[in-house]
Amino acid sequence: MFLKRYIPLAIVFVVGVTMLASWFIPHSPFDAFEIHATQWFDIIASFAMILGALNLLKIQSSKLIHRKRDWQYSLAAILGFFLTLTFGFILKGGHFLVLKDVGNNPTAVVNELSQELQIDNKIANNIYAIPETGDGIKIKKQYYTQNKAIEFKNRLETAGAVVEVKEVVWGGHLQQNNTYFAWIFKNVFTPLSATMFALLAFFVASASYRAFKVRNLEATILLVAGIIIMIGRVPLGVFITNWIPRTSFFSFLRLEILQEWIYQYPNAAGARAIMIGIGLGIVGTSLRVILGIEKSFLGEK
Amino acid sequence: MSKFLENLGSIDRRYIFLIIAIVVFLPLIFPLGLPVEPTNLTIDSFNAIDKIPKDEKVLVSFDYGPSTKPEIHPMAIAVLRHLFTKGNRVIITCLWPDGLFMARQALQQVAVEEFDLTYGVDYVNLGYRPGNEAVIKGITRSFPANFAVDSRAIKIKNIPLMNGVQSLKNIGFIFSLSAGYPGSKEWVQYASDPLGIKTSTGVTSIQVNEILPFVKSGQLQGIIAGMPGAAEYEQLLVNNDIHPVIGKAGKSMDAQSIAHLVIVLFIVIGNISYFAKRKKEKKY
Repeated sequence: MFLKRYIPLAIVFVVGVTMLASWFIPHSPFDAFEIHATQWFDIIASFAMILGALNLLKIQSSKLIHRKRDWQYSLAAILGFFLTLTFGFILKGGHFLVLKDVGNNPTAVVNELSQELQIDNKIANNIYAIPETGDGIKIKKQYYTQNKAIEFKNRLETAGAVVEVKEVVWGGHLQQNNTYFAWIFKNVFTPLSATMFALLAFFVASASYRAFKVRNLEATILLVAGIIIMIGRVPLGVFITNWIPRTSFFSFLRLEILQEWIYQYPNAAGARAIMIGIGLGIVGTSLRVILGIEKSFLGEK
Repeated sequence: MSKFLENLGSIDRRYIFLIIAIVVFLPLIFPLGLPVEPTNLTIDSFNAIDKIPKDEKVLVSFDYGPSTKPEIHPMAIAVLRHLFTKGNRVIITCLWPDGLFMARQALQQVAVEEFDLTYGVDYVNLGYRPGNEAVIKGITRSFPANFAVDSRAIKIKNIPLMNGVQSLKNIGFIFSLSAGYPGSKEWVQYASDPLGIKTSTGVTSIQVNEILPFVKSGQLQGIIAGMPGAAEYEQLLVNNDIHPVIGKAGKSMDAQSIAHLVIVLFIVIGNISYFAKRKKEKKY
């Protein structure tokens, strides 16, 4: 009871009060504590990701093993998870060449480079046919496999160049072209995410058609405001009311001006009220947690 | 006639989907060239960026992923074009893991292909760190403590652009490209407001409601709101001779205009049917 309940409550109280104090006291030791605390949070957040991944595996594996409804999707999720994990931690790709020396026949080397990189001979010459430097020059093309890189290396060496095959560093491979992780992100994750979000347009159209009805005064105000925003927000709104002169008294009836007014005044007022409400709610809940009144984070009701 | 009006309310949703697909697709092939008129929110954002002194370093945060790429990415491209044209040096951070890839694509297009800038000198991509607002809070005190290396695994102390950048206090302006949490709101709450750093943002259309109070209170300098906002920013770049042509957002505006119009027509049709049914119910 003591370890499970009072110790966590004491930790929460001390950390909560100290963090709160550090906001108002920007002096030692509070300022240093704030830096450390945010770093602790970063570390905990990283571990939370691992927990999240394990949780995903647990839930999806259970669905798959017990052949629950739509278990095929769980299989896809697990395969996708391991494939991404493999490309993130095991298979990197991203092999590249470093030109150490162009040798005695620079023209032949530049020819090979311009052909492989599909650039003009002059450009290749400007970039690569320069005197030898200590670290060499990185050739701006990466290969998924080492064999492909070696193939090109052999061609360059036949032309007389001194070349070295290298691999992008771990961590850097998440960011570079022609790595397996970049490939899966570009060719699988991006189109899937974009497709999911794009479907929204179809559902919004169908849902507005069925649900947006003039049932009472409130619904009518909402509908009219919605239509003004929808039309006024896009160039069509400008086009429809372009006949109203900007300098005239009636310029406020131009759809783009009307929609901006709705955004900036009634809408901002409502949003502000909601935000203040949420803010007060957060203050209340935080105080309850710090003072040990709210104990749901301990698994208690 | 009455039966026909009632039936208008029960069009199979597959037909609705098909019509939406057609009206989005056609204007992309046959552009209408509808005029893009910059609104005050976008103009405020443009002016705020335009006023950043040349020697100031600017932090641009890529807090979005591929799902919201059509809305936010054109803003990223336009804002980077504006900043690089002015000669500002840019530090990139990502609070979303996929923001890293969005940043890479935007930098490849603008910094490398269009401006031929040097990595580490003119711009740097510090990449993603987990921790959401804790990362923002952390860099208000210390960059090296939170970003020991950049996204290419280069030590931050070896990056010339990061010389003298100990914390966010050394940054002149923040621009948040945000599609949700963590994003613009957190940048205002934990960085720009406590440190008094001028900040602007580009968000998805749906987020504007949530972010607008920060603009009204002066905590944010304008908003680029959704794809229309991005199109307006592109138009402002053209109007101010910063970039010769409008970008992807501007070109997509015809499709979005017609799609919005068709959705409104569907709402009108739905209501006609609703009134026809109500009239019939009252009659009997």
